[in-house]
Amino acid sequence: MRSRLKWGDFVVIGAVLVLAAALAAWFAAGTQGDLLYAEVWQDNALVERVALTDATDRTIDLDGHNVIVLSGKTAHMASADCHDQVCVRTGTLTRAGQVAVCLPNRVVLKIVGETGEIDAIVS
Amino acid sequence: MQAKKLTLCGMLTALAVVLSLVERLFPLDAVVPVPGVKLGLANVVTLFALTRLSARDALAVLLCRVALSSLLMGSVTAFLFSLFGGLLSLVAMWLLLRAEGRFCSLLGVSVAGAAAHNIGQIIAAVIWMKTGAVVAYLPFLLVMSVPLGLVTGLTCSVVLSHMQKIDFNV
Repeated sequence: MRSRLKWGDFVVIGAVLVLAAALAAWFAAGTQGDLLYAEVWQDNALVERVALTDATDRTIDLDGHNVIVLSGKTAHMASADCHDQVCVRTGTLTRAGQVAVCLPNRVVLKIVGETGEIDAIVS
Repeated sequence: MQAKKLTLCGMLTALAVVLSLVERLFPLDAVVPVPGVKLGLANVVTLFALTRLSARDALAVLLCRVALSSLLMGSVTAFLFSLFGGLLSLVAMWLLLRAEGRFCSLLGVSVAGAAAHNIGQIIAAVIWMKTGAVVAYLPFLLVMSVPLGLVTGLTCSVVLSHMQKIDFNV
């Protein structure tokens, strides 16, 4: 059998996991903030940017190709007309930094966070 | 000898296409909550071709598999993604196979191949989407590539040891 584990196998596995953790940490660090916005991008152009509050209740229909539902402080891809349905299966986005991507239609739904500096000045 | 090798390459290509078709029938991401995750059974064929044939033959099998399976069931995007993932996976496994036996086993090679496949697909996705947002999927896919790579590596190792039993040589 050529599957008897050697020390190099653990090096490979460790390297993959460290890379995964580093990427995850980098993504989490880049999008901090207490004000949440849902952004809808199509062909790398911003289509919609909606502030997410508890009262948010909106449905964005991209010509029937993708239907995005913003509800409260969450967003999800309700339907897509592509075959892989990866974006729909991504589920509900609740935190800043999370994204749902529809590759065939080149649609990105993401939640971005911004710090409430403006509010702080006003108050 | 040449005919035997050609026949084997053809069979491996057919096997890889069937495996990708079967894989599509049972989407793994319906069970594991990682969107886009796949078992990567066709990678077993690439790994087998790399160990028993040559890098050139493995590349030929890979290119034929990607072209055929994209024609059968995919789209332009599917072709682009499989191509990038498959090529990067092939290169990673080919490089690591040189150290197999001393540094690592077939399992490590397979895990590296699975991880490289995901990285390649995400690179294709970044080019296609013209945005880096897709990279957010990569950490989950990389974590999953460890158990999935171990499974495909083990599969290939079992196949190879059976081949040895029946004294199969190309």
